[in-house]
Amino acid sequence: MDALPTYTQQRVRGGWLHRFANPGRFLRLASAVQPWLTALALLTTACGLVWGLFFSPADWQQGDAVRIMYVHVPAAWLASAGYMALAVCSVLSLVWRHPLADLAAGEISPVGAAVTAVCLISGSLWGKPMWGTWWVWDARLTSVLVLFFLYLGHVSLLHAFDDPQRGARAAAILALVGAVDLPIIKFSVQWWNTLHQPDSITLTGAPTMSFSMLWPLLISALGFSLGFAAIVIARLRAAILEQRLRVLMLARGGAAVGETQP
Amino acid sequence: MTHLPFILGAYAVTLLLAGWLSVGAALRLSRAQRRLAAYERQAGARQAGQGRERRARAGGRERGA
Repeated sequence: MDALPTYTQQRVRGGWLHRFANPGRFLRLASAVQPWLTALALLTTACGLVWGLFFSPADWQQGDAVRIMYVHVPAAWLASAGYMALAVCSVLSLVWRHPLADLAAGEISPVGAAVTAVCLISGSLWGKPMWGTWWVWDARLTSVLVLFFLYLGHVSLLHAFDDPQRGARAAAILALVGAVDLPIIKFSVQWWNTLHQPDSITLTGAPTMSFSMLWPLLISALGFSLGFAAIVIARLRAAILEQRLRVLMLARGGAAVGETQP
Repeated sequence: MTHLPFILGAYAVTLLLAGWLSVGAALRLSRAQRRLAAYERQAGARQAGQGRERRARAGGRERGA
């Protein structure tokens, strides 16, 4: 399928960016990758969750409630990673006018909001038996709630203008400004005295949890990430096709008007 | 206090939201593919009809001459 007519009129600086800016090329690549990605995501997520739910050991202190970790922690990681992807798309959109970036950002934000909701709800369900409360205005919880509102704000801003380009621009600026929340989420448990526990897994240090819990957690996180990618790619393919249909219908409408004019 | 309802609740919410997103994305994609294919079929048929009309008009003019 060829690039959309509106896209071909835009000049994109940067050779490699331009190469991947073609929606037709993206559609061909995504159609080939999607079935494999979806199958792998389902398999990995099922493996991680079944392992975590039935075969990993209970925590000596938290008991079986620790099993909520296998959905809560991957959702939390993905909420931040998704927002990072949103911010990268916003940079690509604002600086290079990458044709797919606006569409990708528009498809990432609802999925990111859903993942953040899973993180907040599962965290609340974990907090009640462990802390004795559903919610506290703790730095980690509050900063993740702010992330949720940032996602919702992005979705709202995209659709708040009659001109979609203006909506995309405003939403991209919000996404970039909101990226300041990511380090706050990450370091909130170090900067402030929080009820939320400190990170058990870091890039620099050894994990503070047993490997019998770490493996299902990592597999579950991989499955969630692949699932996130598969859903965003499917939505992005649909968005490209919908846009193509709109362009064709507009062109047809214009041609029909031209045909009737003397 | 048993933790089972909290654990099941957390997994249920996750699976429900993941299912909703996945099914929603799949339905939206198949609808977009169907609509685009239908539009392209219609456009192709329209073009073919216009071509036949033009050829018929041209043929009529030649016969008249």
